[in-house]
Amino acid sequence: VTCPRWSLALLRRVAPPGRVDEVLGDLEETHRRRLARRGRRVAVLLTCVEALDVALSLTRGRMLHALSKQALGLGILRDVRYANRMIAKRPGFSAAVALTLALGIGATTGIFSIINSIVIQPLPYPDSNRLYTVWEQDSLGTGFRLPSYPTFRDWHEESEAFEGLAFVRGTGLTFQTGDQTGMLLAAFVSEDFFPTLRAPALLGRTILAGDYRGTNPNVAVLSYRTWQRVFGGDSAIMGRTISLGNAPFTIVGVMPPAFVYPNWGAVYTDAWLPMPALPPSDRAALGQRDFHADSWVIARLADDVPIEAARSEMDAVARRLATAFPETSARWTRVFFLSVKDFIVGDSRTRLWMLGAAVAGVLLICCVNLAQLYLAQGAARTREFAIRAALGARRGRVLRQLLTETLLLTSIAGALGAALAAWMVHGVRVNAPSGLPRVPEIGVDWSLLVVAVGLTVITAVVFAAVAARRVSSPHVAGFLVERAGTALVRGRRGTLPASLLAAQVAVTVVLLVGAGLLGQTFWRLSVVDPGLDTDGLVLTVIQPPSPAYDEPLAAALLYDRVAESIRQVPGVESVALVNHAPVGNGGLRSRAAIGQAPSGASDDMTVLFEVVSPGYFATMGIPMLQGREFTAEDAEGPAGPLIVSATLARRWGEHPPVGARLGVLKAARTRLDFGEPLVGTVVGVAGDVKHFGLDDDPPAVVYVPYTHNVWSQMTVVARTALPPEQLLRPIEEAIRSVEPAIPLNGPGVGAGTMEQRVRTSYAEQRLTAKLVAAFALVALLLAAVGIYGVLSYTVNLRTREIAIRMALGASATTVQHAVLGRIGLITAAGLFAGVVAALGLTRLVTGLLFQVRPNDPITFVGVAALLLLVAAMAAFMPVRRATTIDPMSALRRGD
Amino acid sequence: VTKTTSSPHPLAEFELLVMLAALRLGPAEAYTVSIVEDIEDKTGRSVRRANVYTTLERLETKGLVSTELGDPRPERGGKARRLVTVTPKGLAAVRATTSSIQAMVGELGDTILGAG
Repeated sequence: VTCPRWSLALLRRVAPPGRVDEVLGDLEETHRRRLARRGRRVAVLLTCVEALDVALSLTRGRMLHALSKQALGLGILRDVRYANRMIAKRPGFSAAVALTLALGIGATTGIFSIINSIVIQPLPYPDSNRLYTVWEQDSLGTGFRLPSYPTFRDWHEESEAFEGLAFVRGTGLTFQTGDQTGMLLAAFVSEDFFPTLRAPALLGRTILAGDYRGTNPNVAVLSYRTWQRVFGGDSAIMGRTISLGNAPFTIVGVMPPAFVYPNWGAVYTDAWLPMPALPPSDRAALGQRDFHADSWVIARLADDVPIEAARSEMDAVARRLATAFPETSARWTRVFFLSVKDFIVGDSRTRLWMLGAAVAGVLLICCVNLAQLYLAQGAARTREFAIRAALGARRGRVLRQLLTETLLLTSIAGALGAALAAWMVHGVRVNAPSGLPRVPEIGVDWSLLVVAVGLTVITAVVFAAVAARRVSSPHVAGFLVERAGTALVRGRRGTLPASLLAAQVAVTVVLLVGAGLLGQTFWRLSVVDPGLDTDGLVLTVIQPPSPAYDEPLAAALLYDRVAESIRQVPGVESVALVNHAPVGNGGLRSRAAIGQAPSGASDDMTVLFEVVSPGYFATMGIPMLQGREFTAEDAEGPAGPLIVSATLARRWGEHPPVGARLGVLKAARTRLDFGEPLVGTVVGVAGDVKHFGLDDDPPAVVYVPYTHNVWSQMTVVARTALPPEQLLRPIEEAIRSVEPAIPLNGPGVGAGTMEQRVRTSYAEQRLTAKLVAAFALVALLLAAVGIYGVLSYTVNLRTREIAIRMALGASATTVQHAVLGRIGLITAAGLFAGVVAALGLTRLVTGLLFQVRPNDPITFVGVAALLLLVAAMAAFMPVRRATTIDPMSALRRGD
Repeated sequence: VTKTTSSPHPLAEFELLVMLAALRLGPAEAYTVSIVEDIEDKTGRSVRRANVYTTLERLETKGLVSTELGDPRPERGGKARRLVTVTPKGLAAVRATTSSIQAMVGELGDTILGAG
């Protein structure tokens, strides 16, 4: 009769070695007494409970002891101290790791933060995925146009699919408050605008229904930026009056910083005003069904309406309108929906994702290099670890040591990377290239930093573990003995799996190809002929103050006086006027027809409508291919003389168009004769101009003397032989001397050079090319470091072997082959894989390229050559060292 | 009020009970099982042997008791007992702890007993 067997077994197992007898005896004795006193069942139960209790207390004591003394407290402190020492002892290695990682982490976090802010995050409006911009679409499905205000009104009346349908009209307005004057970009909005976006004001209120029905529609809501810039963020401005377009407006609210809708390219709206407050001239233009410019229609789908239902409802409305108003809408039988986010983000999506892919490639290469560094280090420290293992350190202990070092380095890298990311994001916010949308919303996403750091930590930990695992106990003696010199060290230990190295080379190739293509795009853009002479041109927008110059005649006189005044500025050789100067995104399209006034039929041509002063082509340096340019008589005489661009001239085929009849619809938007036909005679053909951008085809243009359809604002162009920057101030002075109320401060106004304008037009391409090139260079450098590291490590390990071979008569070539064999194979495989991947991937970025095909052979060959050259350079030193080994001294060395 | 003791090892309550039991049983009879029984008999409370193990281990580390294995006993399945001897240092600790308790109790004795 003894106690339960398992309780004895349990205690025998857990009791400290010297105490097994005593503890078991105690249990036995107690159990017997219990048996005698309380019966078997109770005794067994109590003894079992007691055995567990004793077992727990015996082990807990030991566990706590072990934990407190060894593992937690002293152990980790010791690890950290030791890690610090090791990091300080190998400053080169440590700096290489920390900087590589910081670069990878920082660049990835920065770029993906920007991608996240612009492409991924929803717009800052509730349920923003139900917001659409709505366009008229032609029956072929290829033409799109912005709806006119009357069309919008019909849509608003006849549609039921929307919770809100709003009209926005953008216009530049002069502002005056206190002693400040300047230009603001104002948006006149219909009543549904703020409810459709569901956007609350930051301060005060938005524009309410009462503002549309009351007697005073002149209220203004300011953007956050304008509030800061003009009013210094003074919260006491509610109720203050600001003069906009020469009319007094009461400020009733300020919007939050991210609310900038609608943006016109990179120009954000500065103030929102109710439609009833439109200046009379604009109201006249808006009343015309054929006026399609500077306005958007936005819609919020009702909750239970799918987009297909809205589309079919609106198509029906469009078909009805096309029948009702054939002269303006015959072809426009469909309606096109584009989500507001797609509309705002637009082309930047591809560009940003490509940058993201490039930077992810760099991070990948960073990780591979890190792995390589660790494996090499692990191997180089085999001796250290082997000795520690021989002295009793368990593998886990060595691993923990490596982990501590890794985490310490990664923390440093993480901090540096965070700083780099913050710097990048700040840089983009401040110097955003024009065209980059949602800039006010860009911010660092710190969770991405965590992901990037996590990724690198995992890489480092995995490869530190692999490095440590190689020092497994059965091999310890071998390591020590090998180093003592009785055996050759196997060459493969401590190097990365060939596949990883090859992958690194492949990613580098893809990045280099991307950089090559974008670099070529950028270079070709910078040398593309815009069709005019960009040197020595100064441009200034002349915005006549309202209402003094509302009449066409008054405005034309003002333009004349301004041009004359600038002509007097010393250094100015010639001066001309144009409504929309190249190269940029401005320009108004109209319709034209050969031999007659455009009828609205489908054989109408879409043309760019440009009004210019005599001498415009000479001043701009646009060649006249046939005929002549406008003269003063053309401008002063009756309407009739027209000039066409070379692209438009091709519509006449073989016959020269000079002398032919051409009809075009007047397009000056604020004039009462808007949309009326002007039929005249072609007097000249001008060279093509890349009006809308260097990467765009030159449009078909009809040039009209500026006096025959006076524009509400003009750009004055001055040519000089001096450096044009010197003339900016004098020209602004000359303008001010004619009319001090012409705004020269603010977005889009003030004198600037044509060179600057052209450079700005492809700033985004330049930035992308620069960034991708920077990433590719980093990748190339890292790949070179990787190749160098592997080779020089191999040579180090195989010194003895090489020495023996050479002592036995191997030639330098043989040795070179032996050393280079594997790395050459890896590089070749990586190169091949990279080229194949690049052929597939570059197709995705075709839209970003200009005059370069995605499989451009020159780029591919160049990249391959560059990579092989760099690989050869990286391999040179280690291989040289191998072939110059002195066999005798190498063999004698004790190591 | 002057300090009655300056012992470096004031005993916790359960430690004191174990020490007192070991003193009462004497070096020939004090071991885990008898100590548990003695405390249970005198105080009427239930004692976990696991606690006695850890307490004795602690006391031994502090040098207040010493232990040695005795002879094998048939009622223990032929296993030996670990016999506990209180060291002079241990005796001093018991003395210091009990006298400080007595000093604190002092003339409160009646009150405490009355209250009890």
